[in-house]
Amino acid sequence: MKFKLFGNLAYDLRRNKALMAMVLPVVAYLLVFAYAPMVGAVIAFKSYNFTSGIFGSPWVGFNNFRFFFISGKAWQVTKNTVLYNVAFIATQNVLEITVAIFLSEISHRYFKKITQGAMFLPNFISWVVVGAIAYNLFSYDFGFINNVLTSLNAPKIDVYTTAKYWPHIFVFLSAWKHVGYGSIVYLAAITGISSEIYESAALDGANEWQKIRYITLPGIQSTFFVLLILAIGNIFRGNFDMFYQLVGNNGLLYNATDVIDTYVFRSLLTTYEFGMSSAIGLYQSVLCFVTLIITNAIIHRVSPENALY
Amino acid sequence: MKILTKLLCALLMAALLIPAMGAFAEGDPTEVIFYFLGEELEDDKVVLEAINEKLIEKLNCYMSVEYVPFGEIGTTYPLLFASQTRMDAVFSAYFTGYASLAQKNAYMELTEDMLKEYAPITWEHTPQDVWAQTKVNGKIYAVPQEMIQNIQGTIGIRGDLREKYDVPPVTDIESLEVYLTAIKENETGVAPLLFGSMYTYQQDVLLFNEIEWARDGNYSQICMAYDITDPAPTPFCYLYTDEFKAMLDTVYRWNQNGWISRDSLSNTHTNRENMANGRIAVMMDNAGTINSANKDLRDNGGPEYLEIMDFSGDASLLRYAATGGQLSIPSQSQHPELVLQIIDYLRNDKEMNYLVERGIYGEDAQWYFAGELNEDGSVNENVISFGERSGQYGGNWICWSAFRNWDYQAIESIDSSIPGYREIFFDMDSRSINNILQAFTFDASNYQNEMAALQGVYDEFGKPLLLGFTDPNGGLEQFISMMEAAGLKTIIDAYTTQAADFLASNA
Repeated sequence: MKFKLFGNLAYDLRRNKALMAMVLPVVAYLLVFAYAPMVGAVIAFKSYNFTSGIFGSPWVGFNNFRFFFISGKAWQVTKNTVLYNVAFIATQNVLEITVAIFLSEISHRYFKKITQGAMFLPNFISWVVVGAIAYNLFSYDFGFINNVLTSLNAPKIDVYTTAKYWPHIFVFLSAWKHVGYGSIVYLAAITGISSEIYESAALDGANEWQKIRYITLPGIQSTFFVLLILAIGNIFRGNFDMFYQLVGNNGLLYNATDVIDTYVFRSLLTTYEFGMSSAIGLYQSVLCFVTLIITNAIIHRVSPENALY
Repeated sequence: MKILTKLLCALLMAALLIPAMGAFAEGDPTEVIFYFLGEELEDDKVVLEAINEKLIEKLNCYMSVEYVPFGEIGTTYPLLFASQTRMDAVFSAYFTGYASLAQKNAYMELTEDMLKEYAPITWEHTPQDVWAQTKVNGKIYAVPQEMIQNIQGTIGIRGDLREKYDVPPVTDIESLEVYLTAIKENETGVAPLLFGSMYTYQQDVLLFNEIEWARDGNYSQICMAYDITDPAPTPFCYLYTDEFKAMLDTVYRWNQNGWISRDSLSNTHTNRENMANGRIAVMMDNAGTINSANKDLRDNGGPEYLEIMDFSGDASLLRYAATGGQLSIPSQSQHPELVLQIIDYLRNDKEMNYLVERGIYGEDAQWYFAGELNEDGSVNENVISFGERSGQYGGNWICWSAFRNWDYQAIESIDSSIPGYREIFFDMDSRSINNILQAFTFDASNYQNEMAALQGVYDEFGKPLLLGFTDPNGGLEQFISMMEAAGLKTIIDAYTTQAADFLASNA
């Protein structure tokens, strides 16, 4: 069997030289940036020392994981991370699909281009800049919104000490930043649907809504599932840039805004314990891996053609 | 085709070999890479060029300088070590995690033999109790600074606003509260107080200065302090003291009165930046920074000016730690001997020290002698006037660091200082004392889990308490119970035991 496997591989390599050459950079990329660094995961079980390096530093077993659990914050930040990701996945996918359908339906060329460009633009603005914009909008004493409210003799809003606003702010800003980019993927999937199907439906008397319901949505179903599985594969990872740049070191908001990545960053800022940060990275990776396997298994059972494998 | 291939191969070989040959050519000056804290100044390259000319002449080497901005101490600085960035010398201080990094061998141990051989003047000139402060587990990992510096919190207020609202001069906490009230009630667009990245100075003003305590600066999250007047102090955790609770009550009252901006927890600017931007009326910071903030206001060309005051009375103050601005040699350094030679030369040669600390005399409006005279009628060379391009860290041209030498330390002229600044500077210096525990460093290597967990709790519950956002009645209890759950008691026991051992062996 083993012999046959390699025999087939050699045959495939000979037969599909051009295709193999095309996939080579991707394989090299994954080997260098995804698989080779996995060896470094060993640091999660070591007390890192600069002169001994990763492999020479002493083993400490699972000791590097302990700080995360004795702090009493492990459950809360893990929960926040997952719930925020669920909210992002749900809202962004709905919005991306909606935007992609609208864009595909718009026939006016310039309006379409301008709309698409305007929605794509936020993707290129860094979270540092977004954080600064948010501060200048929401600041209690100097922010634009409170200046307007003051000039209208309305009471100020205290965004930076009130946790309840932040889930909405994060969901909104994340969508604002990512929907334009994400909709391109769905737009490509919609463009791939044969125009003949739409023409046939039109001849059969289908209206626009029916075409969307019975042709477009089923047509992008497989794209949706692939993106969903990929997103769930990162469900235990918080978007550090976004959470840190918008909230910073504001303890009053942590209950609602702290995710695993920001908590670990703050805790280890002064201790320089790379072993501990790697331990939490490994914790996230294992949870993400398990979730991804389970999700794929569920999709495989419900809709086998849309599962990854 | 074959000829083309050969040609390409030859070119490739040449491209690889020529730089390598160049790098090893004998007699070429050696590049020594320094990483400093701060920002590159306008005339940095001009000054560095002048320094390098002399270095090539004397040591056949030159300095390449990279900067880590203050705001990136917590991010870029540790990454330099994690990524094994090529550097030969690097800024270090208690506030950049010097003790933690030394315990992980991020810095090279500087043995007495090395220091005597390559930095002999510095070794002799620096008192042994200053060297002792740099020791971590008995080993030296840095060349300390020599600097008369008072970093205890003082108070700067906008004098123009005090006059505008006819508020009496601020001389104590009560009169400060009158001023804060006037600003809150009358001045729109200016917050009375806005704490940001520098939020610990109010603890100095309201608590530590007056009762002569000092905090452990290496690990702020464990909240350990000691009595600086006790020659053999027993450290304690100040969270359990009545004095700390009283300070929290005051800060909470200030916050509830609207004197502390609601933006304090999210503001990332320094007090100096906030003052220069006209956002605050009161800043609590060290006297030098308040004096610099006044300079910023003057440079803005408006009517704003600052008044400075110190409420510590005649209390003794702890002399600034020698570990507050050092140079360490990273363990990956390729030229440790040259680094020590450079430090010795730049720190102890008068001409070179003037270049490093002050810039170029008279050129490009960098600095001038102020003209103040010594008692014997000679010009006091340490009182200088900084020109408009002296940069924001005038008096430390290249870096805060081991280049500082108190024999050549510059102080601004009376004309260019806030009235009273020089008096406060010298008064605080006259009251400064050392304490044996300044040289003690807690060995946290066996308690990293607790230290990390405590850091998380301190950030979440401690900072809102310290800035008055949480009611200390209940809030302090909750904070302490969270700290204890994260291992505070274990750390206190270990800390006091280690400190007692240190005192016993250094009596």
